[in-house]
Amino acid sequence: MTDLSVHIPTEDGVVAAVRGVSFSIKPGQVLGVVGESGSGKSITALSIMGLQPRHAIVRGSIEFSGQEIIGRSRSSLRHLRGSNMAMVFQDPMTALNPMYSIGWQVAESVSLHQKVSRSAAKVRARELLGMVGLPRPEAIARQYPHELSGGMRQRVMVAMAVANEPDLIVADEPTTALDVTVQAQLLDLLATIRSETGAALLLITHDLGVVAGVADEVLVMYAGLVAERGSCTDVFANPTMPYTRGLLASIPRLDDVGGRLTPIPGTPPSMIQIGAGCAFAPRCRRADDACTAQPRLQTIGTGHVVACHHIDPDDVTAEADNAAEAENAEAALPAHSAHHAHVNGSAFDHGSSHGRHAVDAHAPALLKVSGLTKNFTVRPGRWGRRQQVQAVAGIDLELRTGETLGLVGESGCGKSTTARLLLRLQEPTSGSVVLGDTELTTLDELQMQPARRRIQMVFQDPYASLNPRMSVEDIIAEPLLVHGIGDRHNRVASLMELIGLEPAYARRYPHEFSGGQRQRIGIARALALDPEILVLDEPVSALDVSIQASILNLLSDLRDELGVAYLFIAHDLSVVRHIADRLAVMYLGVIVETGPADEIYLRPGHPYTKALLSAVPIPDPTIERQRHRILLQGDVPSPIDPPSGCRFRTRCWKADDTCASVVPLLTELSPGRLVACHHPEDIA
Amino acid sequence: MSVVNPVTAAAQVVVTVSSRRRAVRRLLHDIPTMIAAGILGLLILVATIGAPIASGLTGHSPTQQFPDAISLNGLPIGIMQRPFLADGVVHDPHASRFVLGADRLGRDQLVRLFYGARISLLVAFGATGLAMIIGISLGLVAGSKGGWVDAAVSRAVETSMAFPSLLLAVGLAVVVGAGLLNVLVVIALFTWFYPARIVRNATIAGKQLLYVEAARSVGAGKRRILAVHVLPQVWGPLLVFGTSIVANNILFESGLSYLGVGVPPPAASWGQMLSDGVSSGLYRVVPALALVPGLALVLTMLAFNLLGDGLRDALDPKQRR
Repeated sequence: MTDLSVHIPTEDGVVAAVRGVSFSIKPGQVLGVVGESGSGKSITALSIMGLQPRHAIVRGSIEFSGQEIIGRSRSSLRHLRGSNMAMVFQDPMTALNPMYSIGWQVAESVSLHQKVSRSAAKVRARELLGMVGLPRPEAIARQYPHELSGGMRQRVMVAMAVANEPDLIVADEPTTALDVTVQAQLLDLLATIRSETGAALLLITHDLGVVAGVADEVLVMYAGLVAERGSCTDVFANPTMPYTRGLLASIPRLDDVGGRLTPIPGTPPSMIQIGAGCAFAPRCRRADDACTAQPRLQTIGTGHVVACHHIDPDDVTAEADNAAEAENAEAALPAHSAHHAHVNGSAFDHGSSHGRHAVDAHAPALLKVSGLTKNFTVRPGRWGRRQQVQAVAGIDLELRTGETLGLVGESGCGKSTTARLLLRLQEPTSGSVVLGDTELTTLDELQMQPARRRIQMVFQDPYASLNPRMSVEDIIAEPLLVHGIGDRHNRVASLMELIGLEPAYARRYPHEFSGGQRQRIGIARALALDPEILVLDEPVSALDVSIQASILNLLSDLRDELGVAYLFIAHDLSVVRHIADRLAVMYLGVIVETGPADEIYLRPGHPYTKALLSAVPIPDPTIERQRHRILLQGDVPSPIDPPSGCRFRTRCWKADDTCASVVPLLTELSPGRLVACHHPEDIA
Repeated sequence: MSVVNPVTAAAQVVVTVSSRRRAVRRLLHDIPTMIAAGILGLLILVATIGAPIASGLTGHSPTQQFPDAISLNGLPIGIMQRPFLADGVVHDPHASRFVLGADRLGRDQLVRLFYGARISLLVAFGATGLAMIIGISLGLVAGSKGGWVDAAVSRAVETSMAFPSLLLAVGLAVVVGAGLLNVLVVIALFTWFYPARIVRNATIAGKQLLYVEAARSVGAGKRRILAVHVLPQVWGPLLVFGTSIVANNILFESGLSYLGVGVPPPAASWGQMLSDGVSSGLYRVVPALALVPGLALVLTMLAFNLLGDGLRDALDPKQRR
């Protein structure tokens, strides 16, 4: 593929989504395309398949086994698609047609391209379903998409993609919508498929860890251009373009503790009016006058090319020195709070070996949750039998002053419901929540008001959690207004300074800010009442990695400065690892393990924790490829009908008869470490 | 360290166009909608200041009957004609013209048309406003309280929707008697349920909104949530709906007047003018008697509906067919 460019006219102007991208992929090879949202990676993939938006203007050349793709008729493209190349989409929930059975849909992709009888196509479909590791393919073939879980649907998508033994499989964020344990299964499957069919795989992802594990070659995209391209080991071991380098430095890693992340300042450029010159220059620490010209791709090693004006190694050390300085300017932190952050940050660096802050483990609990339960009543269809779903099945938690407790688990495990229960956004079915010495669950809305000043929440989605019709000032001032606190104007200004936004922007509306900035606004709002506890529900999962880092840094600064305790809820174990003091691991509504974060990461006690940790990819090819991965079987069971005894037993390799009959209780294995398992790992 | 990096400061605010500004821009580029808006602007101008001006210039009041505007065989004079001299045959060269001719009783059609616009718009906007007030309040109460309140309001909505409104309105109008205010109230009684539905659904959907939840988490009360977070997002749909319901209400009023239960004579109203021209049978000889108020109605309806469509497309382009 050479010099591909795609321009998409929109209402606001023409979006230059891809601006001259060239690469090639050999049979049997895995090319990982990484970049943040809006970098043009998905449009590149769609253009290869000829699936770009109809009004998009595509220029350049895409050659597929010697044939030019651009400019071909729809029908010849259609023939090519499916038989010679196939695509796996990001969202397995919408990529299958809910009206047809799984078997029918897989058989369809077979019979569209092969002249086979209907029954032969059916047989082949069963075969394919078996090949992608679905249990009982006969039964699955008769089921409909809504009966399958996300991971199973994505396997079906893979089955459809390989139905005609294509030469190229394009996978656009195939694992993004999946939980880590399922992601591990799917990546394993893609690797098997590739070695069995010899197909080339174009893997598009934002997750550097995924790329590190499976890709042969890596292509880093930024603002519709190739920023860096090379073999996987080269790019990770010797990243040269400052963007690649920044990306690697900004992600929290599972195998790397604490310390500060180095975020990339600013936000990616708008692709509508993109100027000449290096698109990364405004965010680059090494930018100078040379960068006003568009950098050419330069070869710096075997097959390793970089689009940058500054590729000589001397710059590298200079950059490292500047990193700390640049970081404080990262969000244009006003002078005094930047200073505070810095002072506190270094104090902790000296204070503990991990760069973490110390929490008095014997302090009394600020928040004590016991036996918290939430049942939902669901009714399948209008006349279905009412069924109880135990979203949260009796959990105990303790949070001490100034402590960060990480609550981790896969989707559907009840962690978000727990957050909502703590704030009484939902009424718990039973159990108690004690804040200080007030029992919260029995208070009415009016009595709850004083408690709301002490416990506040930051929401996951910074786009949906801010009212688009309110100015930033009104948003941040709302809690103050509600609680009748005066001097709002000045308080808002100081809150904005605290979270690193110019107070001058107070009159603006949320849509004028980027995702990271909006999340800062959400944090400012939560801090407005000076709470003792912040419940953070996936605060960074909706953000790009480079933005994630600056929010995580902000959160740890605020914690150190204000002494707020965090209940940090996340599915991303690397993120939690970075910020949490203690950890609670949830599975299907119950807590299976709690303890100090460092110890759990080092020696997990519960088999689930162990599997979860091993499933998280680490963005380093040498480490990643040597790791022993525990692949869990299947998916998380439905909470409507949870397994008897230990809820994890259906996926556990240690399960025996005891596990099926006796519910394991959280027991203290060593001081501060509680594990709910009949056969815990050795954690001594 | 204390100096704010100019590059990052500049990058701090991402300039995107607000959705409101986008909608306005889309609206301005929509030619049919702009034409419709122009027509309606003109209509409002006519109804407010056009009517007295026309009356003053011609010297004809809307209810004044000119016997000399009717010929000896009983036919009213036609378009751009002047009234007759005393002989009833020759037109008086000094009298002012009847621009759209005269009606059965020798009244100036143009002046009546203009004053009729007044009544039509007054009733239509008044009734729509009243319907909105009733609908929004009931919708809010139903959506936020839920339970039996919601059930009661919802059933009331469905019941009123199921009734043939014009028929019932005629009956009701006969009972309460003719009169501007009565007509207005009767019409409002048959239009309140649309806004009630819109607001009820938005209120229920609003409970799921993340920013509503965020407001609850800081302790905002129910009233504040409804007023600040839920209601503002239905202004758009209500505006769109209101525009097209105004058109319906103009027709509604005309229908009632046509049937003789609307605004009582001699006040001019389009429905009455139409009914006059048609029931007297004069429209066969002088088609303008039916055409003038009829076309005015059609044009107004068309303009309101086009504007409503345009507003909907501008506010919610995803719904565009």
